[in-house]
Amino acid sequence: MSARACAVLLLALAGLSVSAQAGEIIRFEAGPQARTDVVLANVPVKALVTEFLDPGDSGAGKSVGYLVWREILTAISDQAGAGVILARAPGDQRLTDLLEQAYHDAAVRIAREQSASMVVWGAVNATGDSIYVSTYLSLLPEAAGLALKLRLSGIPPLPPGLEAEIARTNFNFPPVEIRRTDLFERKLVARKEATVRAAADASSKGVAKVSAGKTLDAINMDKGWFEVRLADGKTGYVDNSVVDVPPRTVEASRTATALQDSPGGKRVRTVTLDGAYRVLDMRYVAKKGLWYELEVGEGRGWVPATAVRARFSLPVVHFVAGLYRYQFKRYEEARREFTQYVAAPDSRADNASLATAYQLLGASTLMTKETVFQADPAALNYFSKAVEATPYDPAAYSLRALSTLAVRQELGGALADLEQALRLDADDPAAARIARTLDQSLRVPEGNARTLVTMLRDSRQPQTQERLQGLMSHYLKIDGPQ
Amino acid sequence: MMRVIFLVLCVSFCVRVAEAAPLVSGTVTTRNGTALAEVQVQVEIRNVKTIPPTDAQGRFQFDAATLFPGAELRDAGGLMLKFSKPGFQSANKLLRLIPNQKPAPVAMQLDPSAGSAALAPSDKQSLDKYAAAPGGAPLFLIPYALSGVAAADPNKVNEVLRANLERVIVTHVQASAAGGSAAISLKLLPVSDAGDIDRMRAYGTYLNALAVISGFGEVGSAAGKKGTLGVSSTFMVVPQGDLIAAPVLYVDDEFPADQVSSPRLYQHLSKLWGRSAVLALGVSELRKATASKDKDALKRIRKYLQSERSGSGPGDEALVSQLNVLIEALDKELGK
Repeated sequence: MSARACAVLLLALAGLSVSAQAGEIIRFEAGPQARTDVVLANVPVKALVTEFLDPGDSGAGKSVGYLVWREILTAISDQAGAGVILARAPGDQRLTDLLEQAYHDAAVRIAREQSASMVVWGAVNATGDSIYVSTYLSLLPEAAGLALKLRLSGIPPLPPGLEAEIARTNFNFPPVEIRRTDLFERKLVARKEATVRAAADASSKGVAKVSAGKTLDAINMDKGWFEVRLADGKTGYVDNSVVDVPPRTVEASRTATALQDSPGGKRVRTVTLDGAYRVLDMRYVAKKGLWYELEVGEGRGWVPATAVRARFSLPVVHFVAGLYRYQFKRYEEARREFTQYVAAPDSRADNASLATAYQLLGASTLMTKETVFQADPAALNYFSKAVEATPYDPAAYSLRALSTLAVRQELGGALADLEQALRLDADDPAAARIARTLDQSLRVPEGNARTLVTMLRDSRQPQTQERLQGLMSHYLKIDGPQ
Repeated sequence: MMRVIFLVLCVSFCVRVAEAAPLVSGTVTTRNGTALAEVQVQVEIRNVKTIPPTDAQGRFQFDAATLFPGAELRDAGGLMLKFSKPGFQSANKLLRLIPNQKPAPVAMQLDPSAGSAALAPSDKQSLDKYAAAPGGAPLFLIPYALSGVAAADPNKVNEVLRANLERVIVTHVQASAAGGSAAISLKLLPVSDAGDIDRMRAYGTYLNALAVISGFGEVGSAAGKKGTLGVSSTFMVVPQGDLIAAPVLYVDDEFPADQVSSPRLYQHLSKLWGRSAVLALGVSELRKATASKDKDALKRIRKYLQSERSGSGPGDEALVSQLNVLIEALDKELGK
């Protein structure tokens, strides 16, 4: 029988409406009884970013919160149905002072009130030109029905039960040490006519006007205001809400692409992009998507965002952007974001977040193909990287077992991983479920089970069957037919 | 009776050790400087190695490369030194290994095991408002004794220290799935006994604390490096008794003196202190759940210890071995 199967990543997600991505700012209400009106009520997938804590009173906490919020918005700028909320302390108050020990609980409470499924928070310390940024992410699966599972299914169908959860919900990303210039020195694009003011204050006098679509050179940031250098060399401040915030650079690996004279315009020349390129301008064009103008060699030109990988200031932006893409089943974009996350220099310093990024990268890679017969072997490699990062996590082995079934269509390798998962935790539900499904299918190879048994090329080998029986007997205490 | 030896051990730093073999030496004394002979010294990365006990002058020495030939030492960022002697409290000290740099001599002080500093009524009165209800799980920070650069405003430095340490500990505990078990917090105590282990324990016991943290900071410190701030931190798990015998954990850090609130300090301490807090929470709750035969509580503890282990990576083997001890104890209680 010619089995056709595909790996399906399930996302039990409430119906997605098609509304443009959006950003909103709310006040971070700290008291236990405090509530804030729900914003972006019709946006199905939302993240909450809180102002970053600033225990050393460096002044960078508010700015980094704004920047992360704006960069996530840029990363998902072509994603309908996605929104990002920034919660900031009112006025000049500092979140550190408001919250004392309740920062995480308060951030999660507000995220729940706002029906956000992700909450990003963090802290900064600054010494001289360096800012040291710690970032955290909590997923709230119940908020938007977000449940990340890898399930093998196919046409004709495979038996149910071949599924494992990507269940980690709290992430402490590795701290990043970054210079102020590497965070804030960047191009901005005026969304509408913008007033450049003398100080970082809405009541400050205007010193210049910038028309919509013009670029600005940011050199620093003060709370929610970018300090910009004007053409005449003078400096001023522009509120972040009136500008778009492109990534500072984009990256590519030996990618041949056409440079164009405008977004979707005339081809100027074909180049091979390889490395990092400064972003000079950014545009979103209806039906043509997002475009970047890049500095390439001595020249410049426009490329579609899909031809390159944006490099955002902090790895958390890529991780969150990947989760958005993932939820909307835009697996190629998700794959790009998780690739950027695992390639970030500091990402290896935290095993748990690195492993999850690899699992999501592996799942996205599987999902970009229609059937397991086209499965990219790289997917299995990504799940193996996750095992290397967290070798004591039973879920890492269960997920790799599924990937082995899909990519290699081989039972033996999958059983080795299931044994390891059960050795680590005999109660591991995913490993037990997968093992029972395999055992039942081999015992009664009829209907959907026949598809699976036929697909697994070593399923008839006596030693493989004995190994499965041994696993069932030793770990699940099941001997003989159930 | 079950006795879980709780050894906080976490050597998970990414720095690779220099090719040159680090020769480690040091002395063990009492607080008043009396040399302690016959102190058992063990060295641990993934495996535990026992070296000859201290001599009559309290000295010990070993060649780390001989003790740990191969990749184990090369891939480690530090060594855990474990000191024990009958009649004294066991103590662990993390010795960071810096590439191409000879480790400074280790000066270790042990306290009598029967330490039970008496708190004066006035002490108790000032601490009463910090006392946690039985079952609560606060951690306390006794202000670091800071000299030199920090002397200008030690109160502010200690508050920054508390806020950062609290963040790394609370965040780690929440991320470990133990977050629902207790409201973890780190409160600054209005006392100044940073180096007195007995008093640290007495404060912690009186306050029903999960752990007490303290330390010293000094410009120029032992290595005699100008412009360098040396900080020696102490993490003490308070719950003791039938189930646990928890050594005090010491960690030294060095960073530029003008960075007294250096985030690098918190990066170093985040996983170490966070994991120590989860383990301390585990042994504390295990003790209570075992006494009350609360199977649901035992299952919950097992879950968060499993979660902690799941997030561990290469280099965390020593931590994992301690988690395994606790998980096995739980399985035994659960009849698995």
